[in-house]
Amino acid sequence: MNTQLTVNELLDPLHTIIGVVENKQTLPILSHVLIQLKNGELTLTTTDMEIELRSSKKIQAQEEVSFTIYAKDLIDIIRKLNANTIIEFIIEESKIYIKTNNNSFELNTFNTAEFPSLPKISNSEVIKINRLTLKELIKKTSFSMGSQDIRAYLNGLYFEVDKNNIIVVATDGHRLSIGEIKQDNKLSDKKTVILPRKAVIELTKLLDKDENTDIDIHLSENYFHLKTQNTTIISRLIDGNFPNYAQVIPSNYENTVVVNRQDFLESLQQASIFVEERTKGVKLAFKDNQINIFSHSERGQAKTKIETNNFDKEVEISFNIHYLISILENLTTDDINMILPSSDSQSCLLSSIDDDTYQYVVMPMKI
Amino acid sequence: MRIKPEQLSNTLVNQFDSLYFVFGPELLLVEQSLKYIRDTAKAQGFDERVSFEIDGNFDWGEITAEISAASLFSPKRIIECRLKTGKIGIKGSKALSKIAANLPSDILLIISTGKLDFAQQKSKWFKTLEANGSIVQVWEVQRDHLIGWIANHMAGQGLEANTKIAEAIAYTTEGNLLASMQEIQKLKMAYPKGNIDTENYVQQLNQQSQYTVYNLIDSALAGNSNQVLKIYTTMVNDTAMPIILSSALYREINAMIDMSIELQQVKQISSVMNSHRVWKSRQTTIGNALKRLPYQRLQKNLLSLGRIDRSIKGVDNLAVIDELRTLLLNLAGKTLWTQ
Repeated sequence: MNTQLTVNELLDPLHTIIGVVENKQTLPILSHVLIQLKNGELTLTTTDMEIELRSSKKIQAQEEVSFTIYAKDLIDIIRKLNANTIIEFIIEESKIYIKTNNNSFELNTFNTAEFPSLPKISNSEVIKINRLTLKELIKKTSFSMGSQDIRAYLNGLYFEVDKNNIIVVATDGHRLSIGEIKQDNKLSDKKTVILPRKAVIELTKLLDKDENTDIDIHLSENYFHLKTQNTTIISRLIDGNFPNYAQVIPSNYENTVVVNRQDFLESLQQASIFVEERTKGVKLAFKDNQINIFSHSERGQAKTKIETNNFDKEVEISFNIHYLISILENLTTDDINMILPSSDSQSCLLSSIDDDTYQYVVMPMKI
Repeated sequence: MRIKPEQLSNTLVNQFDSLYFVFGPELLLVEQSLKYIRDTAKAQGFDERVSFEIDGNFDWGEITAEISAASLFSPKRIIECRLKTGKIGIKGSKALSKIAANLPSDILLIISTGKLDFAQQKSKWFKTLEANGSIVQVWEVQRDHLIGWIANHMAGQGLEANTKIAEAIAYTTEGNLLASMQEIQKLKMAYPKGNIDTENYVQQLNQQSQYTVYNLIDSALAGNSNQVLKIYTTMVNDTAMPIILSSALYREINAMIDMSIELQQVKQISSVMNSHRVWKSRQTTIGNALKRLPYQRLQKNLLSLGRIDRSIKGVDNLAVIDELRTLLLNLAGKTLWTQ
């Protein structure tokens, strides 16, 4: 069984799906990419048994071929070749021979029937969403996801979809990002899923690539399935109860400060030069319509100051400076609301003025 | 304050501290005490738990950072620190003393470790923990109490407390409480109603303990190549054997390499073995093997084992059965040709 493919035909889909392949795999076949050629369509598939990525492309070749090959070796072999270079694959039972220009390679292969695939999804609800809208929702919330937290449900992005809204929430237990858009969804009931961190990262890469189109998301009991023009991502969902995010959003607005976002961001960036490496704490002292910002580390200290509107109470409060900076980088309006802790709530809320699409909640630090 | 392990559950009901330090040579008993503390904490609203594994390179600032970062979802949190050894260094001693002396009321700090020597129990950090919280020291179950301990735990699982079976378990697990507990749990699965077929079970236990990969490794470390070949031949048809053997060999050789490195500084072989929790019954074998096998040879064996492991997983193409035998004979100080 032989076939010929060009670097151009292989490299782009391979880059799209390679992210799923881990260096350390429990099963050797998971280090491989499944390459299938059928009816003039080339399909490349990778999986880690949690996520499956497929990338397809129409090509000239008409033969029917299917084989697996060690993904990272294949990409290393072809990435430096000219786009039009023809790669010849000679496929035997347990070996694959690759010939390009004057070079030849011998690699192990597996029986394609052994390549694991995630089950076909049934009973799923379908949501149609604009690609750019989804991309923005994910980008502006996912930075608050947990990473390697013992509570698995924090290591992912929570989607809550009902007839009129799509809400996306991420939290690591200390900060929380919420994105909410209004759109009509053809759903019978409210649907909630937690998409694992790795799938979110792959999904973000995928949404970066494709064009401005509407895409379909299939949500079933255990799987998330998204198909764009050329690429499909299927991911198992995290099984667990996402924390009740609504209860930590402050509802008492008596300590609301209006701040210029850019001034605040620049002051914090200056102060971040001298934050303590581990705690990353910064102290904000609100007094006389001003915020005095203090940070210190072993190397020195920083004091910066910005003006605020209509807030003359005296409040001193500390935060992880990186949490504040990442929030301010994701908000876009000139002025923002900062709702400070009150008797009813210990947390702080940041959002754009007159726009609740994105809301960010941060817990103060004790330093 | 010092609390005896058997008094812990009662003490927790009456008084709940913000710091507990549990230590002792028996991992299972330490775990049981920790479970009592965690369960009580959960009932008192400590809904979140963060844990840290602490070795010589640990950055203690991580704990300070965790304490200062409040949680959105739980006002009370548990921070658990598992010390790999009681040797936490000057930096660790200062940091732990400072953390223990300045714990906020919404944090429960639970520290645990294995055996501590007398000097470690007199150290400044230990005294700070004692002054700011409760100390629970668990002891090894003495040989004459072991059968009673096993029988009690059998009864606790709803099994008939059969002395003959308790003796058989104590003998085959060589006093290892975790292994004994696993045997009790297996018994519970095999006899859910609690009535055990004693003869049948003892026979099974003897058969299963006749030849294990551990006997094989111990024979190799004892330098007994004839015994290695004899056991290996009986196990060679078991398809799962290479996987179990290679992982057991990996742990063993890796631990011996660590001990070999420590022996360069610490001349007392017994103290090195004690710190690596080598069972008393294996200390002669391991001690002799450490004298016989130089560090470089152990490293070479580990590299060979890496290739064998890759071959088992299909990414390399060594003849696994032959290579494992060669490796075992090498550990025994022989080669196939000099056997």
